[in-house]
Amino acid sequence: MTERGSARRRLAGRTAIALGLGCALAACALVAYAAYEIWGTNGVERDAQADLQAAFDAAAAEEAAATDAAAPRDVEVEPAAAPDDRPLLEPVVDLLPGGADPKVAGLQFPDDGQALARLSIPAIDVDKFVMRDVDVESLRAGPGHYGSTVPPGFDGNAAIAGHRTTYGAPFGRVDELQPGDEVTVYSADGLFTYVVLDPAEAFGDRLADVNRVDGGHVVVDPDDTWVVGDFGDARLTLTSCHPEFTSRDRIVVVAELVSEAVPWGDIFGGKSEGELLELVTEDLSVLDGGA
Amino acid sequence: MKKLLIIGAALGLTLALVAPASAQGASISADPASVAEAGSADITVSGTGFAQDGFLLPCPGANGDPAQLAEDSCDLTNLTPYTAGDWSLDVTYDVPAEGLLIVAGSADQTEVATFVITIGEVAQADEELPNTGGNTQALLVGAMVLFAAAGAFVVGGRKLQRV
Repeated sequence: MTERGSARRRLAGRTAIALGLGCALAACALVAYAAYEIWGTNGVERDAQADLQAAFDAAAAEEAAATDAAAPRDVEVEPAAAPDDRPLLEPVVDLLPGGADPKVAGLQFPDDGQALARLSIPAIDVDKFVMRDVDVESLRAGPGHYGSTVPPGFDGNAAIAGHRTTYGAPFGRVDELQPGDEVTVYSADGLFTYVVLDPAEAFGDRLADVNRVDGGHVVVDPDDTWVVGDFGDARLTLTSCHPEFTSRDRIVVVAELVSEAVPWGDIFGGKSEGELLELVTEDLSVLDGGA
Repeated sequence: MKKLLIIGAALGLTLALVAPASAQGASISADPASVAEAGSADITVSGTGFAQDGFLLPCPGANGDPAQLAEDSCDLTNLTPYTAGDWSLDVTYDVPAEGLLIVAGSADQTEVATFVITIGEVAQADEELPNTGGNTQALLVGAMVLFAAAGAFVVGGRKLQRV
């Protein structure tokens, strides 16, 4: 081989080695980023949840202090004679469903607060504050409530999404849920108990539209948004990505409300069907008269 | 006695056949589900599975949130009656900037279904369930490919240098 030829080969060799080192560096960067995704992002969620916990505790302490301040101190009061049919201590507040105190719950989950509710699933060690939306930022702080669905505790489908991996992976073990497992949600509307449903019971005929059924969950495509639609009952739907470490599919668990639901507000102003029909007739007659 | 048993069995069978249908529950949907901006909108509301007669009405005071439904939230001057079963109604409602909660329910409120008309583009979450899984697997596969390429380049480069 000529001197020129071997010089060319050495140059090609050096270039190949440089390219190899470049590839190795890029691979290391990818591994580092993957490691950050798996472990590093957990801190983001941990800090956010800690802040929410602090606000939650502060609200409870604030209410306790207010109650203490309102209570009479060091005053000897002669108990008044009460009629026999009246209890000495009458309830001063109407409790929310589940026995929650509306004042405390309202302070812990204010309308303008970040958290909508607290979600507890003992079977998979979940105890998280639920954010008010399912946008990227909200889901980094914890599970998020689909704003297009009813709030937990209402008749309808209250849906919550959570990370399967990364950002604390609140729904990392959602695939382990089995029919009968209990889920509780505490919000400004009350304390609600749900029980995980068998997918066949949860989806009925639509079970044919899912990709896979296993234990208490189904697997669907990302665009199968019908799973968070109304099924005419009071349910909680949990969604997350599947399989782990990918976002290829979605895993879905449905739980049925087994405790008292939030009563609907007085929609019709206490009017009877007849009175309501008269309202309709009046309106129509006005229209007829005007035509 | 035998007759009673037969009648009882027939009644039980009838109830068993009817029950699943009534257990479906009532729900409503609207087309369009979202309008570009606040203001008057022509909307087709479809109801399914209603066991009772009732009324459809807009509730602008609820700010597009069923949780905020209160006594004075709904517009009782804008009632549209419907009959039990499946139905479809064309209505014109004023949609406020916060979105409009539409309610369909029986007068005694034992059967109520809601739907929220939103303003603006349908959210991403409505088109696809949110991504909560990350792309770690893809990153690691990419890293393995790059490591393999790195190995090939270095070994090849060394061979070239030795010659």
